[in-house]
Amino acid sequence: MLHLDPDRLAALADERASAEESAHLAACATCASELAAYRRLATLAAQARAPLAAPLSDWDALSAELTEGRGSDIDSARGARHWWGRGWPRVALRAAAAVLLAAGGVLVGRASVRQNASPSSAMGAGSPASGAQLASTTAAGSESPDSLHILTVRDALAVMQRAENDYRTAAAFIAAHDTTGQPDPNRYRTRLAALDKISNAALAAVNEAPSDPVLNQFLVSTNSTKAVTLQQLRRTLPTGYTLTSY
Amino acid sequence: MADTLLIRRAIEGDERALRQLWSQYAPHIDAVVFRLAGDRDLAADIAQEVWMQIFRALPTFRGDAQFGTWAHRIAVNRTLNALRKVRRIGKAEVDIDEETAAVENDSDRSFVAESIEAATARLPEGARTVFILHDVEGYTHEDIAEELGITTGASKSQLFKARAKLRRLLAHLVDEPTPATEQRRHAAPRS
Repeated sequence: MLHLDPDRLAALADERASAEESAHLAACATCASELAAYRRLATLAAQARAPLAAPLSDWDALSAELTEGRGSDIDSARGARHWWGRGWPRVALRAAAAVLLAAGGVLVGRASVRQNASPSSAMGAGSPASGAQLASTTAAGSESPDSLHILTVRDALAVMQRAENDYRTAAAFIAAHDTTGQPDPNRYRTRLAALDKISNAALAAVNEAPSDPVLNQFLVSTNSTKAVTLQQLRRTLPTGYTLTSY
Repeated sequence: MADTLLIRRAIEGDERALRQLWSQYAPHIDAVVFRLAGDRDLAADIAQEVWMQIFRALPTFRGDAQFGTWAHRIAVNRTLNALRKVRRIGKAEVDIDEETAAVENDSDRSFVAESIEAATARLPEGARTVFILHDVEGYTHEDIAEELGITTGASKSQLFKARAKLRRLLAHLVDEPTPATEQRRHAAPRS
């Protein structure tokens, strides 16, 4: 008896046998056994599609590559939004820095105005600079990425974080030590009302883009400023009074 | 978190979402790369590129297929491209030979998976790739033909040759014990 060709038996593992082949398989134990072996092989092969216990790829390296915007020779110009594109993180950082400086300028500027009302101010501000002017002045005198040792987006984010921490510390210091003139609760209430609006707008923006670092940091900065102003407002209340609204 | 939300956040640049996608799918995606590459170090390099490709292509993911299926497709495509560069595979016909290839022992892999990996490593690249794509990954001959730039006939021919060789190499796993072999096995201790 002529047996079926091995390649044909291999094919029959998942192909339908012809009538003639079926008849042969029914009569030939050798070929039937071979076909059974091929079918078991197919079953084993399907079972080999198992996940690895641990990935081969490395998240830390991927994360670094994504934030660096490197990424080998992959086509990155598909017209889609690529948050990790080469250009925009640095632009975003510049925008974030400007926002931070402007926010800092608003707070410090207000403090400066108040200081100038009192020549004996310990803060020693020179002129009644507006927040915008102060921000502009500070931005003009800002250091370059090179001088700040910013080589990667991660470096830049760390610098931003430090700047924000410094800003919060300075704002808290102002809140604690700004004793010039008589504390004016109305001024704090007006500021808080404005900050509420800014905070709500920032919150809405964060809800639209929950992962946007610039918007998140702006919201955090705004809320920090609100907390500082609330402290200042509380201090204006008579002893024994609790602030329930403003 | 549901995949849809996770993917949306990942597209928006949420690094935690990207990491979660990677954590969830890397064991599967990297496994495909490993099976095709057959070498752990090479597979690790390719897997890294595959994930970069997946992340970069995320904004083009439309949800027509499951994310896993979509990513699997990218993994196969990217790996084959990388292997082409490395090994210049993709020639239409490759003869089966008896060349052996080094197979790394990986305690993470099941015995069956390891046996199949060891056996497939002894196939020529073309036949090996077709076998893995068809019998392991579940691709059709049409898909394989498109991926490898060969005809469906060539894909089938490679597959049947690969199966025929693997059937011999994996006889200990696929042969059903016959009464004769059972008899010999029982009789062996007496001789």
